[in-house]
Amino acid sequence: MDSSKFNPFKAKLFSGWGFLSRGLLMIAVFALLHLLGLREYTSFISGTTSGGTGDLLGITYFILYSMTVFVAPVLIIATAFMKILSRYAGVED
Amino acid sequence: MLKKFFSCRVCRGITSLLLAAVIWLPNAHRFFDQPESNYIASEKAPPKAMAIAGRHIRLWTDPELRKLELEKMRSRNAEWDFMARCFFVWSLANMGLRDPSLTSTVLPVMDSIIDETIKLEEQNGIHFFLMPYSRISEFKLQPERSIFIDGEIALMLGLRRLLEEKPEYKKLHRDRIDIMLERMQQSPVLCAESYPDESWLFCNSIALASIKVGDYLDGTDHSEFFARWLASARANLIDKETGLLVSSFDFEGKRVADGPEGSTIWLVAHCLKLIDPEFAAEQYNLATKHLRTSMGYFGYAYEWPGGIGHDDVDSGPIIPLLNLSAGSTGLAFVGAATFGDRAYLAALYRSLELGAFPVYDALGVKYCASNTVGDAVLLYSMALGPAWEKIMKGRPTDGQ
Repeated sequence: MDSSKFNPFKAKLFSGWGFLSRGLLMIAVFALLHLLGLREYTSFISGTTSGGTGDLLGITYFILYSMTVFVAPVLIIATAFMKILSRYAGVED
Repeated sequence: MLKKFFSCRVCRGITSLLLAAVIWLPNAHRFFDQPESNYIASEKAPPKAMAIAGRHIRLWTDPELRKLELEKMRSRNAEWDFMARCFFVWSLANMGLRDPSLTSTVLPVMDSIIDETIKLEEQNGIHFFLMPYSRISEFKLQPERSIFIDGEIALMLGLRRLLEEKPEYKKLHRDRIDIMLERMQQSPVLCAESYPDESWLFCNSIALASIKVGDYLDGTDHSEFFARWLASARANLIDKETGLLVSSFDFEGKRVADGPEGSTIWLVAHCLKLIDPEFAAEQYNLATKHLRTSMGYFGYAYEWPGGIGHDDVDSGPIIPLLNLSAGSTGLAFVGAATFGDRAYLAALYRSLELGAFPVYDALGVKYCASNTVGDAVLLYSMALGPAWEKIMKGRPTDGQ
């Protein structure tokens, strides 16, 4: 069995596992940034911080958060549709 | 035919993504919906207001915490330090008026903030709470004073007195009112300077509100001045394209520096409600027409009409593509709450939960994307109502 197909970085983009693994990866990276305390740096939005590394960390957190809220769930739901459509077409996912 | 289409992996993938997006995106807002009871006050302050107030009271009673927070604010903008004090005191006054059981808790906090603010102004002069450019040139009116400082302190004193009279504050309040009136009347457009040769409607409308509070408390009558001010504003300070009041102009009122902007007009409409409710509502409706916007179910506000314009210290950074201004959106809460615009308020609160990054802990709540002044403005939007209602009803003896 080829284990590389379970590697999220090598999985085909348009596949059930490709969607699921990337969705989960986004959530995992966001969770890590959250646990590292990067939420505090989002004060860049109100202009409270004054540029530099803090803003970069805040922007990174903001992007990952947005992807976790808007993109990851779409990828995870799409995994189910991918399975259903593969079964309907009689092909392997 | 369909089976053949779906036997193509990319076709299956794109179809799956589209179907998933159709399911998720219109429903994502449900995770950020807030029940109205969380932020709209009934007989008591809503839970969210109590959570913000709890943290702020701790901030004002713990010297170490306060020092850290104020230093962070002052390093960016000394005005924020000042405005955080004012919005918080105004909020506490409204919370006390709404729920008298809170009065004994909020009064000492209000007094300590008022006393310290006045002391700092006396010790360091007006520039302590102004941005550095206040020193670059001379105020047209001498001796130098800023209506930004006078108006907001006067409103703190007035609302404190409205909650419970304090004789020491009566004189301080009356003196500020006299000074403001004397200076406003020297300007052809009845607006005093906030910065040298720079008058802001934000500050002058707060001054008007504080004078009106004084009328209610002391039985004075400045209705003739208010009428002249309104006539002058309609004649000189309305932007022809939008019908909105402009934000800043020179002392003579001949040169407009900043046209209508969100970080000014929402609060101006709130203050003018005390002076002329119809004109205020008209300005609020125009502001929603030109500045209110949304991304799906998530509401926010532009700084400039149509979202076209630069960012500045008042707007905060403008988020590209969305043209979202944190400054304007924060004050839009005040506008929407003042005029009972529940649909907009619900959309704004959804955005707050989505994009302001709340952190809940034992002290209460703070919004990481915001700062102390932003949180105080938000608190004010949840607390406001009782003070204005009381004043608009008139003095108990007026109708007799």
